[in-house]
Amino acid sequence: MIILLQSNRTVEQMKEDFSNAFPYLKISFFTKKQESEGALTEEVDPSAQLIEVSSVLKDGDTVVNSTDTIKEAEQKFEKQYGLPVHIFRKQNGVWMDTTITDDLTLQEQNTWGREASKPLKTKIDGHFNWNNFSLGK
Amino acid sequence: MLLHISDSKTVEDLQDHFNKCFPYLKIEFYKEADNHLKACDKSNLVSHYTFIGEIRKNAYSGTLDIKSWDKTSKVKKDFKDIFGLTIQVFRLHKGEWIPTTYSDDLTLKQQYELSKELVQ
Repeated sequence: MIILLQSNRTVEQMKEDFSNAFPYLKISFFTKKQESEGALTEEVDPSAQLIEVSSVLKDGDTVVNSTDTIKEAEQKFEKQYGLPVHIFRKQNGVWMDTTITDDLTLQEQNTWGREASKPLKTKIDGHFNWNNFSLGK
Repeated sequence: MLLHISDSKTVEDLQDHFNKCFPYLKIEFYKEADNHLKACDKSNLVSHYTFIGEIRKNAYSGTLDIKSWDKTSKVKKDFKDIFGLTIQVFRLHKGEWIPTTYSDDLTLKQQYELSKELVQ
């Protein structure tokens, strides 16, 4: 996928691009609050334009490949644009941290999220027997 | 991982979240000590239900972004420098928790991989 990095685009638009490509992944953008090598961050207001949150933004395209690992994608944003990002995986409606599995590709994480979110298949032999069903008293 | 740190959190809150993101690793917190050598002494270890506000003078609240490629020493330094918290990282080794004092140059991912290899 190609993410358009243009100064007048908002963080929300970038997040949407990412989610459209990887429905079970979410990317969050952060700002550095101090000079602490990216250690201390707070999430960026989604309505903020990129020019407001990146000090080194150059208009252009950033190519994020589905074969990039989470680590590579996060580093790409941080190193090229000074935008600390964090990618989460959706699993059964919960956003999971991907830190320790950041050597998996975006595609693998997305597939993991999708497969893990599928309802468990239960095999019911024959028709449901309502005679055995009770709500109790 | 994103770890939100504030005075109203307990040591256990932070430990649980850290351990969830980095299985086979754990962090322990210590009271402020007069000198660095005593900093991670067992006698300064604080219990799991202690509030963060009780063990530091710096009341800064914020989110610490810990990456898998961060060196163990950097994580410890960030806790200290930004949040005024003395911590030690431990790695599970043959069923025992050992401090990473002599392997602080390794990243958290490397520490994790070392422990994982021994468990599997």
